[in-house]
Amino acid sequence: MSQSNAGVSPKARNSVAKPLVRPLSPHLQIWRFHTTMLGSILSRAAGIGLYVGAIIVVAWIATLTIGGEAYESFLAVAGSPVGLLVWFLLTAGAFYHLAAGIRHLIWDLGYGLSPRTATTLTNLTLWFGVLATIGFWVALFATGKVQL
Amino acid sequence: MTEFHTPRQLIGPSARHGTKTWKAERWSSVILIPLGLWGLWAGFNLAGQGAEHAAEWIRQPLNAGLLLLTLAISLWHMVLGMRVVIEDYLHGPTGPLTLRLNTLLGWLLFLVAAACLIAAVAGIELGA
Repeated sequence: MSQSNAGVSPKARNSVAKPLVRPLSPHLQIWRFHTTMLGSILSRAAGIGLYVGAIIVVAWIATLTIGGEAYESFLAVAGSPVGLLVWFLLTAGAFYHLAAGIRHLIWDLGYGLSPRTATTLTNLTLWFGVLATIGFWVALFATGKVQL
Repeated sequence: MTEFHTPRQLIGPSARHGTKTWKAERWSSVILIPLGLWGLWAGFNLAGQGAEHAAEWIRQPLNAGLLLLTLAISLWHMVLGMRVVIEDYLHGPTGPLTLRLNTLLGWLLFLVAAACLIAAVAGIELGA
């Protein structure tokens, strides 16, 4: 914490303006590549993507309850190739963010924090994200629910 | 004695609300494990089944209720998460405003979804 006031004399401390300092996460620019770094960045990216996903889900709820033309327009966009790509990315984000979140909870409980275990856990979450997403979409196409 | 306790003006937001926020982030993620899986399963079953099927599905109180619960906790979780991203990357004057917009968007999405789902279950026609 470079912005900590430890070591500053009491007099100097009192003269400092109220610092609204919250703890920050390591920034993109200062990471050196490692699996856990990739896992962390992807988890945050997935979270941001799912934020957009929540907006899409609310749009789905709203257009569905309004019905008629509103829902037809929603389906036209949602069922288009671009729409399907967005759904695909959202499911990938959901599966990965879910696994990464569980990994994070394990760490928060104080387990799996050695570099080796942390890397293994991260690899597992990455593989889960890839395989669950592929499985989900293979099943969607195989059952004929979704067609291109 | 000021050496031995935190001077009042040095207590930042995280010192006041940090533990509460940390717990909220964790508990919302724990609850979202089953609810998120339910959402993915529901989405899988609804995909490509047509407007009638979807409209029938959302009219069911259990489905609408679980959907609203899942959405509410997701919105809570994502507003907290986006707040961390904003705090990490927006240090300029736009930061506080963006934080407010983030919270506002979360509430707005919740209210729209709640109104629509209540109308759907109650059988109130929203469309023309």
